[in-house]
Amino acid sequence: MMEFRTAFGSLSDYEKGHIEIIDDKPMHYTFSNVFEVAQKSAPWEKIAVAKNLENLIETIRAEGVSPWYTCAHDEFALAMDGEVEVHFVDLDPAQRVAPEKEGNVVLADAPSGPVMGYVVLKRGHQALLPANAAYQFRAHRASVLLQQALEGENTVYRWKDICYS
Amino acid sequence: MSNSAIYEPISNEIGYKSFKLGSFTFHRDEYFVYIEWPTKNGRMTHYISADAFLRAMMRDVAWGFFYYQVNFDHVFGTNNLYGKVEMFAGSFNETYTSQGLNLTETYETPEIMAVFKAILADWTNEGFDPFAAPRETGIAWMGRKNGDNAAAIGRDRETCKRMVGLPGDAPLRSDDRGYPVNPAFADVPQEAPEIHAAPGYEGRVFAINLFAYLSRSDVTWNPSISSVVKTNLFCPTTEEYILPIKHGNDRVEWFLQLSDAINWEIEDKTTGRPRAKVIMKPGDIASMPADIRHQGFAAKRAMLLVWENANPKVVELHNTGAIPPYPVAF
Amino acid sequence: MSAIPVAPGTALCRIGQMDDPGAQEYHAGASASVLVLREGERVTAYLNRCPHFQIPLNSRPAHFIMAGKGLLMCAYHSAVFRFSDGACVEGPCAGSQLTQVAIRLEGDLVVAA
Repeated sequence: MMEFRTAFGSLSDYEKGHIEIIDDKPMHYTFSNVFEVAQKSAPWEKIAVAKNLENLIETIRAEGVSPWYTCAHDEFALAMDGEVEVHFVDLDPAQRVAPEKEGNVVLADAPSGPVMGYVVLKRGHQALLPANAAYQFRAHRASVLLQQALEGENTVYRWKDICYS
Repeated sequence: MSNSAIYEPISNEIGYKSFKLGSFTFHRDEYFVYIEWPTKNGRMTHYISADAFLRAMMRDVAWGFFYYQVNFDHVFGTNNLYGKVEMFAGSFNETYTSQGLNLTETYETPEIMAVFKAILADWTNEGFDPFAAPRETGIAWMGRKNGDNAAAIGRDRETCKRMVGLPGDAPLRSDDRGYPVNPAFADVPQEAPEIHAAPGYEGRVFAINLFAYLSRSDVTWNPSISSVVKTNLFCPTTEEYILPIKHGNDRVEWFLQLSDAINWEIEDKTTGRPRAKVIMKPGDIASMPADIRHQGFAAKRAMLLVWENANPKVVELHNTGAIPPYPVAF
Repeated sequence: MSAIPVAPGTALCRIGQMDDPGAQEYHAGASASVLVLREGERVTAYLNRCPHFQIPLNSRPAHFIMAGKGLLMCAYHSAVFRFSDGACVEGPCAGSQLTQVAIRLEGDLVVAA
């Protein structure tokens, strides 16, 4: 009977792949590693690691307590390492962003509205960040989140720093 | 272009039907598929191992001809024009094109789909699953015609509206639903995330174990949507052995290696010339430009997030040169 | 996400101007449209959004693919839907459903209900 060992990466233990060029440019492959990106970023920076027009995947070093965010459309958060709580508030209409606005925003003030609850994400767990809720991340130890998002005012671009070139 | 027909078996001893679509004919025997087309030098025949052909055909059928180019190998394939489909031999291989020996024909989508489904149904033997890895499905593909595997080739796909597992959306996989953990992922933790929803917020406060969901996939190289943000689609999949096609997309797509490793061979989409190899390990994320074709090699079953932009407008932006074939310049 | 983009009473199209069987698209704004399907005297309407990838079923304006009696095929990845109830009977999202738009007939006119 064959035995298999599934390999995952983590902030403290990952091995980055590489590109072997025959007739091309490394830049075309926008190649980075989310654990390396999170190692080198400050907590809660939303570093773009994938972009297709307005669509984004962001890597977040989750450590401590994040700001409160909200968004007019759904988003999702996937934990790649560690443990992250996601807390939700059902935001009063006065604090919501305009329905046509794309991308999340940081709330200027503490969210007002009923407390919705929270989830606890470990590696491989994905949470819904529902439209018009306020959400906040909390991590007791450095963890890595990916966010499925649209381009917004909080996105940070560091392609030259994070990708093979 | 029409004129397809299904012929009776060319040889009772072989047992497989032969097929015709436009100027192309398709035959198979115990080991091989023979694709013929007319050229200025007479009829040309191309040979593909029948298992490789059926694995590629399974993807083309299941994905409705996918996004643009599905190459079965370095010679034969299809281009999805979204309402019509081109089928070609040698048209994206510079040796064939330089010698004028290639052929491309265009068909209405329902017509070519009907012929491809008939080929797949007749040529897939009992016990062979074109969606499975060789470790799982063995050599039932070879030899004389022996029954069929309608259940494997006619699988329903589950698509979600927001996220798999959400109440009212596509369900998660479980033992009860016929999706046990694949032996290659026996060590993947299965526990669901803790959810603490206040009364009335169940379904809005929600999370799933995506890696556990993937560990229970019964197919390989078959992306399916797990979460949606407008045109931003997460389409994770589990991969083992070789991607049965060389995919030439009409838009940029991205890969995020969730577990294990996949090595990608990259060729020019038009000529077939090798361009690069991309070796990906857990946590790696890379773009596949819109002017290449890619084929992956996974020695151990691996979890891959395929990331697609479903916006139809992006194709025209690439075709007109309004945006380059790669996503970012730096 | 599945909100119907047309107000009740909106005139969508005229049956007499449709092929039989036929499909016609009513544009309800920049990013949403309603698909009206006709087979004989039977008319149904759905949000023009394929459950597979949440994009319209047609890749070109006013061009829809008939896939057999009472069946419509999505141009992008060949999912096949029944006129009568919007069910996907074949293809990459088999088992899913188009979102129905309630309509009524006022003579020849198809109107959102």
